[in-house]
Amino acid sequence: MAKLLVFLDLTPMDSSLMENVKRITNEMSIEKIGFCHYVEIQEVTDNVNSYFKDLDAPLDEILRDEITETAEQFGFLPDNFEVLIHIRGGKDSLTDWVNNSEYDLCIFGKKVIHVGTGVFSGRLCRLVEKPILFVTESTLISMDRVLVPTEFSHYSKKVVNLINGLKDFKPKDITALHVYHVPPAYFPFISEQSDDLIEKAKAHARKKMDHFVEKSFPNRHVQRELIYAGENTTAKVIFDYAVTHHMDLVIMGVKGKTDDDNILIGSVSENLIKRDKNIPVLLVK
Amino acid sequence: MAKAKKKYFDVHGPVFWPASVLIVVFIATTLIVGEPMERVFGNIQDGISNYTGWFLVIAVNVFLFFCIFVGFSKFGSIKLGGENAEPEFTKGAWFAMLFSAGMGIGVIFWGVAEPMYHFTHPPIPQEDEVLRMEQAMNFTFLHWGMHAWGIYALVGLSLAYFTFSRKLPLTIRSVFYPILKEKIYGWPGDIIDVLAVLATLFGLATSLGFGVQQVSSGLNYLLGWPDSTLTQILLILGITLIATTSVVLGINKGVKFLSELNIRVAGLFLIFMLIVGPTLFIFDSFIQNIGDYFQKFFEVSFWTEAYSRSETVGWQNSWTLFYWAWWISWSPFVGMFIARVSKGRTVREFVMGVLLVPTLLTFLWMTTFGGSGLWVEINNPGLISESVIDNVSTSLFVLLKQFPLTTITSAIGVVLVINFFVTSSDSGSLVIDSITAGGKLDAPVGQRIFWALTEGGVAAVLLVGGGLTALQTAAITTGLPFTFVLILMMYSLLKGLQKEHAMNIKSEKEADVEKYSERVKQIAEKRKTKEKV
Repeated sequence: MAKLLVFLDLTPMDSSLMENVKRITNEMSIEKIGFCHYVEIQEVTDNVNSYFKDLDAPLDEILRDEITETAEQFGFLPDNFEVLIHIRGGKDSLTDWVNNSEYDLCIFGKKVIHVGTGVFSGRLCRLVEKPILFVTESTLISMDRVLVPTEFSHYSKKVVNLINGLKDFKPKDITALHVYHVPPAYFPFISEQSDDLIEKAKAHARKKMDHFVEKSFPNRHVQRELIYAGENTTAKVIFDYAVTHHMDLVIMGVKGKTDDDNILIGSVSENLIKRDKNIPVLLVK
Repeated sequence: MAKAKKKYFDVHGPVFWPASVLIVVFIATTLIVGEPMERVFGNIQDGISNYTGWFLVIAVNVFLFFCIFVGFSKFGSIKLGGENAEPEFTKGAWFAMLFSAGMGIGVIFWGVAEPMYHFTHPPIPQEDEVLRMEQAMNFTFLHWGMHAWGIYALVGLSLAYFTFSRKLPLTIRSVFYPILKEKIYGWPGDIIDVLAVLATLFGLATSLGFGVQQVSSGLNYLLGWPDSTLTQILLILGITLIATTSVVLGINKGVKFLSELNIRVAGLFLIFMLIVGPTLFIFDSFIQNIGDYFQKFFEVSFWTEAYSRSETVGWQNSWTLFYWAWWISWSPFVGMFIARVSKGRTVREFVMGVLLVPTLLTFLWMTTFGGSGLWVEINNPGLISESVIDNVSTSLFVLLKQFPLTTITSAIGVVLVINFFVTSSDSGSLVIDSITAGGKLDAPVGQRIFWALTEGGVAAVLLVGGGLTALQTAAITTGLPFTFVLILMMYSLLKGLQKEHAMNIKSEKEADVEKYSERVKQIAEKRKTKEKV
């Protein structure tokens, strides 16, 4: 039973976000949904209500009514959701609130990351310490075919814990993907014996992959994929694989092995949550 | 900053007492053991330099490159004090203050003596006189150049960031917040601060020791007073008393006046020398020295005497390593000063300003005084070099003797050093006081007197226990442990800046807000009409 916190920005994209959330509730049993909206003008004024003239009700009430109405149109039952309007205190207080709230999964629309309220969610998704699902507004989510890119770091362990821990989350197929590189330290020699080195790196990666899959998913079949990155970036390889193999969802750790500062998002994850990558991504923190 | 509560003494016990006890033990041991301490100091200095010399050399380079990296990385645009912080001082005033941070007893003491010493004892054997001069200036620039300021920039930047942006107390332990979290208020923080206090105190005492040696030989030259250890100790006593009196009387304005006067007088001194000295030679060599500095930058800054002949080995111990340790040991002092004046600057401005501004000034000073010294020496072989070998601190006065108005300029030189002594002692005790009082800036006067006296005491005791060697040993011994603190500091600062960067990701905020308001207005309109219907 999960509790979802959905971030809305009052653009027309909100309806596709709700559509996606609706689909999630059909696939898994969801205990509670929070529709959260952050009133951006709180950053430029102390008194949000006097910022707009002739409102006939306090702003948060107006927005609450609007969101409630939309949610009901999508068939959410009033007892199952709450609407949260964050109107003062800035991003910091919102982040604090989210991190300490009972919600265990946040949902963002991908479009909003770099356009519209980009400031807000770009920053918020870095500071929130809960798993975040980025859905695309132009596609409908499904959870049958799941791709798990891994570097076998401790973030991968968190990903596994999440997949195994969600009671109703039963994807039909799981594919574990590892993108390997030939270490740049071999650079001066690479031209002479590159095939050899790639083979070696692959054998090493296979060993790790077998270990990872057997340990993480002992009782189920998981497809194992090893791909040599070559000239491409890891993020591109992952995205290309996901699209060509019709993956529904990418689940990955917020970062790989390179850096342990949990505030920043690793470059691979950062790239995959960009809006030009038209695929839902679940980032595990 | 918390307000001081108690009237005379308001200390943070776990830092104040260990630091004080260690210092008192040090003073007592040196006084009781007496003469043999000189050998002890010599052995300690040799030991540390021989075994850890390579480490100091690479560490100091890493500090400099780290600062340059941070300045030019994506963190460069982070503002010290938060996005909306405004600089407290105009750029001109800020430059002036960085200039003044670069001025001190050290440049006056070593300005003439150091290039002359390298000229007569070239670190890398060299027969040709011309090449020896080049080398002498090159090593002098190395010691007083960007490496020194890289160390200060690291400490200053860390302090400024954690004090202004993170609102932590102005003390060294605050810098370690990302590593230690709340533990900075516990014993790990105490240890760091004790190390910082010891390093600052001994670094400062070294500087004061140099100053008093110079005053003593100046008075000997002007008034014929005996230039002995006794004179030096009486001088320390006298000048320390002046410094403490100024503190007691609460003439902070007086000290401010003195330090401003100092900078002006030093500036005039420099201009005087530029004019009466070999002006063209100074300008020519200034340009050439800078070129040489960059050309040989890696060669000399990574040089460790690895392939030197046995008769020249050991040169680095008493020069480069001593300087690196000295700069490290009083980095809390300079760091706090440059941090204090740099609120509202971006990281990039800070790094560029701190690395370049004081360096260029010091280079000009060293070229003016050191270069003139070399110029005189070439024309009258032995004139200055003999005095340098005889007594390092007299070299300035021997140089001044070659030019007009000797008596006046020498007197100004002496007054300048005394004045620097007073202001360093005063501001030094302010810094140490702040660290031992848990970051308070307005701790009671009693404590500052205590620290001013201790600084004088340590400087005096070091002179008794072995003169120049003892001074250098003190700097090296306290500089080395503090090097480890600085290494951790780099990591901690990077962590802090990473977090800041994550918090600051922003785009065109105003346009966003406008679009947003538009949407909200539409919704409000829509609901209005709905309710009417």
